[in-house]
Amino acid sequence: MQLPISRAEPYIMHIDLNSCFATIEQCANPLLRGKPIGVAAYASPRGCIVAPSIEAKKYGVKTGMTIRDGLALCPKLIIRLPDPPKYRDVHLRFKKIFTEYSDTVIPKSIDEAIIDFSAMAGTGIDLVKIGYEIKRRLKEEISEWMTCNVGIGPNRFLAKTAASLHKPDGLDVITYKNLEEVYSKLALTDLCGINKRYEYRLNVARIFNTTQFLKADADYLKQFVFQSVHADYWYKRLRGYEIDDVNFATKSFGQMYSIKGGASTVEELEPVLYKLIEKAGRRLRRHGSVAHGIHIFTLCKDGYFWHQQRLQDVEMYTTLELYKGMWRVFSKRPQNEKIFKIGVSFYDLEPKEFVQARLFEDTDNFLRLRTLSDTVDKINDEWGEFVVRTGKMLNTEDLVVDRISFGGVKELEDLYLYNQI
Amino acid sequence: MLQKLDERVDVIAIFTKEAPMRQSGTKIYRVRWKSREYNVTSFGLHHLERRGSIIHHVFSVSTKTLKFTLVFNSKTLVWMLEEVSDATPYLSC
Repeated sequence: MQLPISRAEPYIMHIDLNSCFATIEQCANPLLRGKPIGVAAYASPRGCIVAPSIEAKKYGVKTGMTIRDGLALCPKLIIRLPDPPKYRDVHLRFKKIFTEYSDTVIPKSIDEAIIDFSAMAGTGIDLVKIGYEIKRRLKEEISEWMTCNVGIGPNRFLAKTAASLHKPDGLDVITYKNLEEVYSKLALTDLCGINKRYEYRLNVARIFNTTQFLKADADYLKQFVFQSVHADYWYKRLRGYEIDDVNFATKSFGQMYSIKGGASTVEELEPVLYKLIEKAGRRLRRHGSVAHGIHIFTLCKDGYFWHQQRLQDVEMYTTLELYKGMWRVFSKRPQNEKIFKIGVSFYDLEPKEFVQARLFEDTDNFLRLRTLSDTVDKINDEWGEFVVRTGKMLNTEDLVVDRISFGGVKELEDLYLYNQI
Repeated sequence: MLQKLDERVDVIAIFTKEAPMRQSGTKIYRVRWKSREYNVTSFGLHHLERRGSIIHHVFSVSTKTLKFTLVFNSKTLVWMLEEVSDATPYLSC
């Protein structure tokens, strides 16, 4: 396959808030502005820093580091814990601003979004002007401390690449005219989607820089690097053709949790598991679905990983049904292993209206239980999460606390549907 | 230092029309907490939080040395002080 570089006009805008969680904390607390701060998942030396501020990055603090490592690099590092409601509200506010410019706004994560202006092609629209206007409005309408990177390109990949060229607070445009020049300054791992392992595979195929990657033939990439359809995707993506405009439907609902200090007994694991299932179950029910499949994984000491999945004979809807199904799978785990991380997910979804009548059970009885479950959900919607809960969830306030899945998009759908204010 | 609280406080605030378009125009001037008055010197962030079906307006404001998280319950019209912090590390790592 031989394709020229796409000469499509750049109508895709990618907007990325700089050091999102840390910047929002600095917006909220003027005393933290200009200081190195890090938002960490947990308040312990091994807690992971999920967002260092721009000032902390100058000391070498990076996302994914432990607090201990961050403090070693920057002793004055100020650690704050995440405040998900604050970040969600900022997300809703910046998305609202974006939708004033185009109907097609695609959130990519809590701090990133794409605005597609393709429908306005030929109207003389000036995306650079709009980019600067959005930057100004974020400062005016959210906080004067808020900065973002804006990238404009002919496809989503190039728009994202443009948004990463000058951090923080940059605005760049990539077109077919400057594409090769931009690539000449980027390392392979600067491209979104190329990690160290892909870089190694490219190097083995004698591709050592981005320009060589661009010039490589699609068949060569397929044969020597990717050995799959991804070779075609990369070939087109690098040339400015759009292949990433795919929306994936929700196929599962899951939750996971890191257990401080680990847990191995049923008494320790039961409340954690029940709360995880309740949270996943709430999302499943809000979606109006039932699930047939269960998947569970555990991570033990020394990196020992155990997981199992199973399809149930009948669909599951209430937390109790999910919990019973989960326990059937979980009981097969290796006993006496101390678990440090646990995750559950429910898959094989279908609309809840399709209820299989029971042959050996009282169908009316379990339908009554489902109605009861819906009623409890409604009470919790009205009065607050976990106001009505089962005995298994007593004293679990500090377990499985609210978190934002970093980079996740599915959670945002819940946010738009049920938390719009 | 970061202290979580749940205390009712006195707040002097105005809801002004003199605000840029699309902004709430809420200005907080003074907070009285534990019989002491604090003049607000800078405004941080205003965000909304749904707790059950009730919308709470969360205002992050600061004095010269302290940051207050003030929550205005839109149903009861009560101001609560939920957090006080400064800019020092509060984790002992």
